[in-house]
Amino acid sequence: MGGLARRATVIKDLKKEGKELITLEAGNSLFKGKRSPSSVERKKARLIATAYGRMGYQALNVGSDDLLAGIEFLRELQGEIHLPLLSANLLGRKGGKPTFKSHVVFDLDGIRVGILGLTSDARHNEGVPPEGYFVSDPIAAAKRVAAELAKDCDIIVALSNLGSFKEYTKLVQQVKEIHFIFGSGMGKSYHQTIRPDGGWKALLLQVYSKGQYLGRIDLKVVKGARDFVDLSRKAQLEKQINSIERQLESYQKGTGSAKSIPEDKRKKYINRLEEFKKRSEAQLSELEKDSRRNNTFINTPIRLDDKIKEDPEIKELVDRFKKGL
Amino acid sequence: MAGLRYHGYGQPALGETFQCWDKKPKDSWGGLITRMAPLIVIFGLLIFCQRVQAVELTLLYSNDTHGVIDPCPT
Repeated sequence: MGGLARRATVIKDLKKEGKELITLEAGNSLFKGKRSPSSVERKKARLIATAYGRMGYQALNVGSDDLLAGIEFLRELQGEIHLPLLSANLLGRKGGKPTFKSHVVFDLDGIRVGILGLTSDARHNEGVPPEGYFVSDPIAAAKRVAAELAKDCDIIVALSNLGSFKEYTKLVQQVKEIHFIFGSGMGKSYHQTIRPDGGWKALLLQVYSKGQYLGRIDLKVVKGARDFVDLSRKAQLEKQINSIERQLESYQKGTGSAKSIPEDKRKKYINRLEEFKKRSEAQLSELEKDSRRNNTFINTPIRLDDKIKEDPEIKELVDRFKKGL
Repeated sequence: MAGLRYHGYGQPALGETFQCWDKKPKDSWGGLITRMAPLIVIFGLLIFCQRVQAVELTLLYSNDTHGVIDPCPT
């Protein structure tokens, strides 16, 4: 599963469909480990950055693992392949100036999308943060940048390397302008709404590590609406209702596995199924009603399995790298 | 400016001519709104359509690639 060449195929196919796309990396793309990377690992990181450039990535968050080869290495990559690296809270010790851009803004058909980057301040890697730099409180940095972005953006996305669900809950509690968080550093997949007491909410999304999946979220945005309704559940509810209907038919007619069930028990099951169907239909209708007034999204992580062809351009890059080892 | 003395519809005051009465609907606010009604409706519809017209966009995201370039065994 995974591989850069398959990821490139998916991205290029979506571009060919003419979709309005923004391609983002939430962090920890280049390295893994607790120590300074070897020269081969650095070469591989350079290859990844080149591939990202060719795939058309539009913003990359600097994760704490990405800092293992030092700031100069990242600056070189940025200069060579024009990679837009983001971090709102990786600062220089002298004067506390930002090392990379804190955010970027994209305008798609009049909808302005603000993207900010956050680096984890947890110290678990050797040599991170590199000498002469420090990672400031990510939540304070997010608060400052998000407030600025909220002035003229319709959607605010945080690319974030905070690495724990507890930290994300704090982030959403304190920075209510954020709509979506694309996370890194938690080692599993997330599709989780975080809803603090204040009434607003944000969605935390993360796919499995090592490039096995590519996350995809399709948005329908109505100018001026704040909330997003999660329509990912719609297909699931429709499937559920179909399945209940099939079971009901079988119990009512006494066919299939229901044949051997006594009639009084069958009636009980039928009642339960009918209630379940009513509840599911009510949920579906509520979802459809909400979606008419609000923004909507559907999250579909794409499994990069062998059904996806490898993109020849990126495959050649990878093969050339391997031959040179 | 005689017509501005009238607000809404009603009978002309005693002694006023019908010529003066005929001018009234044009000069009054009621007349103005009546004549502007189609424009108001069109603008209203335009604003409403802009409000409900949804823009579709797709965000792709990856994380924690950790230097892996090849497919991993499942």
